[in-house]
Amino acid sequence: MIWFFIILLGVMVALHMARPRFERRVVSGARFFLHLPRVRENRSRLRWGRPPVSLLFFLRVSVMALFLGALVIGAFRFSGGEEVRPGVWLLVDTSAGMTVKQEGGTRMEAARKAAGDVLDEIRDARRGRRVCFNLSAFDMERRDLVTAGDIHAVQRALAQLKPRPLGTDLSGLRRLVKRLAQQGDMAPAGAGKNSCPITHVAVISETPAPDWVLEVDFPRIIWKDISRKVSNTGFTALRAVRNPLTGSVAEVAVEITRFGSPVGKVNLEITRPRESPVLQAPLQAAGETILKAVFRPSEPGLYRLRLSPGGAYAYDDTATIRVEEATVIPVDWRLPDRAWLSRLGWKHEPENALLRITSGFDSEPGPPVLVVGGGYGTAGKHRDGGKEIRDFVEDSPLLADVSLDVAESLGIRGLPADDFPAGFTPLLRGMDGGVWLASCEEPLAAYVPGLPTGGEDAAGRFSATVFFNALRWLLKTRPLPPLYTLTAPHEPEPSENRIVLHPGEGNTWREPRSVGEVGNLESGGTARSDAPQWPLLLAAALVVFLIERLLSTASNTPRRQRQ
Amino acid sequence: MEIQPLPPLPVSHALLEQYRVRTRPHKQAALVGGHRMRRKGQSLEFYEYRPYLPGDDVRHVDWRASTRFGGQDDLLVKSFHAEEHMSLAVSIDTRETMRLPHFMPKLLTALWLAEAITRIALRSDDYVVLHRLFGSGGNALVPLKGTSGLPRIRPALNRLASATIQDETLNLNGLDRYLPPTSVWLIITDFYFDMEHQARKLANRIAHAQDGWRWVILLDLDAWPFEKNYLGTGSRRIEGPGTETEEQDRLLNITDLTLKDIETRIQTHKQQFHQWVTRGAYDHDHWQWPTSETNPKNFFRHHFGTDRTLQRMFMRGSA
Repeated sequence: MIWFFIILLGVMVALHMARPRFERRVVSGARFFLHLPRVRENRSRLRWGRPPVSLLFFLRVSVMALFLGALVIGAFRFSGGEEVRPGVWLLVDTSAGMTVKQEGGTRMEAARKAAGDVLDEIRDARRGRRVCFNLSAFDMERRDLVTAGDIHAVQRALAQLKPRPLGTDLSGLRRLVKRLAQQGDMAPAGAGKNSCPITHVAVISETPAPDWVLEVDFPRIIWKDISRKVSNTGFTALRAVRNPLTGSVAEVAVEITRFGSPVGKVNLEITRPRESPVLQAPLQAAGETILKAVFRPSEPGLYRLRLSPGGAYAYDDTATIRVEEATVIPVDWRLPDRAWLSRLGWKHEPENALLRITSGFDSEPGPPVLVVGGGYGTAGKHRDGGKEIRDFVEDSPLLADVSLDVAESLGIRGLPADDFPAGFTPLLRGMDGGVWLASCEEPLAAYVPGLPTGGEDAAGRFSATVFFNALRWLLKTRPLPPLYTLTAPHEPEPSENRIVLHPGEGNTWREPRSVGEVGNLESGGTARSDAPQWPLLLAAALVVFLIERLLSTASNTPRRQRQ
Repeated sequence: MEIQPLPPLPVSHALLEQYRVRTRPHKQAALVGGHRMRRKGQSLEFYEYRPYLPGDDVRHVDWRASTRFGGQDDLLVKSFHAEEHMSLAVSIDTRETMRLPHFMPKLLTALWLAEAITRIALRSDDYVVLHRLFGSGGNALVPLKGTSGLPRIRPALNRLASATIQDETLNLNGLDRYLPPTSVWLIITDFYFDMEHQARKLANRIAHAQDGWRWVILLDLDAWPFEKNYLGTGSRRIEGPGTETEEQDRLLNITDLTLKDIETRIQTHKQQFHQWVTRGAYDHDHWQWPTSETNPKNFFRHHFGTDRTLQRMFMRGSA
């Protein structure tokens, strides 16, 4: 558009300069000009004249100023200098759920078709306006495939789009929509001719349109949910039940969920590391749609789980988990009595210790600390004849399965509360105020009266219970190798125990929900868009020009004296 | 701005009422331009015959002298030394050059000045003759006297201004009788005469008028400053009085040097005329147009209020 005006201006200047303009002047002293030589008519004027300062002169200057102002404003704010062309951002879901089979094809195929339909609707609705396009694929991340392109570029990229074995993250979509809403339908300053101010966002996905889409006025969102309800059965959870002390996997709990109609009797086959099936683990119903199974790995290694029959979604029909070898827990054992160190099968390795067992409080940084008191003593020797419990923390994990009656009969010699460093919380106290059990969240620490006595009596059971409760509580935070990991954008392909078990991807029985239509491609809404200024300036220039021409014509009309 | 009908006088009649004609004794002629004025006195000494003016006392008509010396339609009146009346002739240049520039024609200023002066003079019971300087057709002279002539001023000026503008024939016929000795002759023009024909004749008449103690005032209405700015520099097609016989398209390239040259030519032209007319007994006034358009009424008020010659002719009376 600006080139049109520049060319027009050039033509006007050329016409003005090429044809000599002899401004008519009627003066009373005209007779004194008779002696001057006349100019040749074809000579063009190539010098600037000094126009008389008059109303007409100022009107002409105003016209030029308004005209130039319209051009300048149009050049710098060109999003206001032409009609706001629609910009469409097409986002296509490429998560693992797009591999779901439905209606004779896959959801990815349905998505390509839906995207094509959207493009056709846009082409019909644009009414000669140029529409720019962005195309992105999204799953757990957004990949921009086409930026400020035309419809043909989008169609070519769509044909090559494939799903990836990843989950679906809509938070990035929401952030994108917010950013587009803030930008409005104007390209940022200096964005250049390749910018594509977005007025419409079209999402093609197998996920139903979320509620927040309905609250967005600008850009206009078209959400096409191409999913159809199809039945599927697949793994939805694999959990390890571990020995809290050794961390070894004692059991694997498997959860299978049925979506939609039953697909028949479901069988679970588990292949152990040496590839021979372990069993076809019996599945037990845990509700109308959930089946559960548990198996105990006999050896470390990769276990492959397979469901049959599967369902429309293949990625949740198989899973591979890794059972790590039971590891010896390294501890920093500072008690003189090392009997329990051997009994537990731990190794004293202070530099890699996951736990410190000591008899006193200190502020040395390191792993969680179990402070062991002076002990329970032997029967009849050091007991104080029993003490009543003053108070206790009922839901403390260190008091799980602890008999408080037994505790009262033991005559435990508690520590004064002042002996505990700051941060310790008494969990069990005697009437004399002595603390029998205590814990600290930060740093992680616990206090027990003593090591397990090892006896079969109540004292033995109590001391063992509180001792192992404390160990379990202190060791719960230690890192343990997971049964499996999930594929991620940086590692999108499944491998060994990196599996495609992203939550929600196997749910093939959701009610589809689409919102929005292409319509007439009007942006509408509450888009922040400034009214273009240059048309106003141009209109003002034309009005002033008209006035100037009328006045000039009137002043040039020869006066005729009445007879 | 339109001339006809003549727009209302920008100076209020009440203001004009404060002016009155001051006559001076003969011995003071040197102070008022060297012409003799008459003072009203007690004597009734006969002075001379003069043409009858409407409003004159018919008892002063000398019938015998009229039949012997006057023309077919002329009546002669005896005038006496005791009379205070002044004879004032106002000659107005009504040619086409005076009808420019369009925004404030020189003729408009001339007509307003003629009206103002005539009103003052008639209020003082003086004789005034309005005279069209150029144009052979119609009656170029309109004599007026006393307050009875006041209503006839504007119609007379409108009639004088309606002459055929292309007729540049100098018309001095019959003016002599209205220019007795010691009368005042005010000529309002822009001096853009055709020097070869009319200017010499007028100059001779003006020069002769200065004999007999007549006070001749030449008022130059100079619109060149405005027209110079209006022209500007560049390619121009010049039109105006005096170019009608030329080819239709008078295309000129106007530069600053050109304008300077034209200005010099105009000054030389006027100086030449003044050299012809001077007898040492005339006043030359100069009303210069502004370089840009201005309100004609403000322009007239300013010059009418500050013109020294008019101030010498009239004195503002006390309220």
